[in-house]
Amino acid sequence: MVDVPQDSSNANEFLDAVHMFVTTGMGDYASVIGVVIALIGFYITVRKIRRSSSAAEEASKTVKKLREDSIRMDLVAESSTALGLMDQIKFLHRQNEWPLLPDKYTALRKALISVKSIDADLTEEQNSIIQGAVVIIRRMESKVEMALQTDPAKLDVANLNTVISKQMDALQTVLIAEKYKIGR
Amino acid sequence: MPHPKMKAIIDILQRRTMDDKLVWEETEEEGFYQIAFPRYAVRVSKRPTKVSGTTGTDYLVSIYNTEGKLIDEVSDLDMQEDYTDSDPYYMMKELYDNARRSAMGVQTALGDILKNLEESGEKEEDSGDRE
Repeated sequence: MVDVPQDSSNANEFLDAVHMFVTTGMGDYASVIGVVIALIGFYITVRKIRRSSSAAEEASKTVKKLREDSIRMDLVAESSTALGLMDQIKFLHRQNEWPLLPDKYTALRKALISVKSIDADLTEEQNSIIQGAVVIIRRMESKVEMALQTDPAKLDVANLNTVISKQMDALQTVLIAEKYKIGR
Repeated sequence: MPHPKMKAIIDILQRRTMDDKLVWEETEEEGFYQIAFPRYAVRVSKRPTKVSGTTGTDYLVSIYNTEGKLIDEVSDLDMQEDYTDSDPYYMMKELYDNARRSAMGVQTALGDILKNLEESGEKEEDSGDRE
């Protein structure tokens, strides 16, 4: 026995009833009632199809939103790591702990590159902010590495920390903007 | 060796910086100014000239990649062949000066000072009228 779907059989009944109604003139009461029942069945079927398709769309939207939120949470976590490292770097600058700094710069650069590589639909401006920070941190790393070979005391701590603070402010704007989007 | 793309970049940077369409930033190195794009960054800087037997300044434009590595650098001396109708020295000097002004916020500072001067002038006029 062929398993005919309920929706399809309702549609067939409706069409048969309409056919009978048309070919037998006005038709008898039974066929009128049949047409009404078939019409109701057809209406219910159409509603069910609409509901199930909108439910599927809703589910797909929810999954997409969850995925986007999860990506944004990764981005916020990486940005927070980067901001934390910037704070540590400023502190180490003030303490003149130059030999500890190259590793911190490398970790910071990696965190910034991770932020950029997360597919979170960042704007051009946000990507530019992170790119600018990557270059500045890399050059700072080279500068400190070179100074370590000669005289680190010549490094201008105030200037280095001013530059880091500006990068922190800029990165903070990216973090806040992305945090705000989570769950919305 | 000609650098047509670099010339185009320098010209556009110069024009857009002059129109206040690009905002440069200070860097870890005094006298170096940077502007970043989503995948690259450009720096302008100057150094004592490398032309032997002379004193003066060379202006440089440097390009950095996604990882922050220097991938290309030209000085005004390298751009001589590309600027047939103008002097690359003056072109790159102007770019450098405008980038510095942008990074230091000179236009904003001048605008604020001008506004304050105009406002204080207006107040003086008002008090003069009342007397």
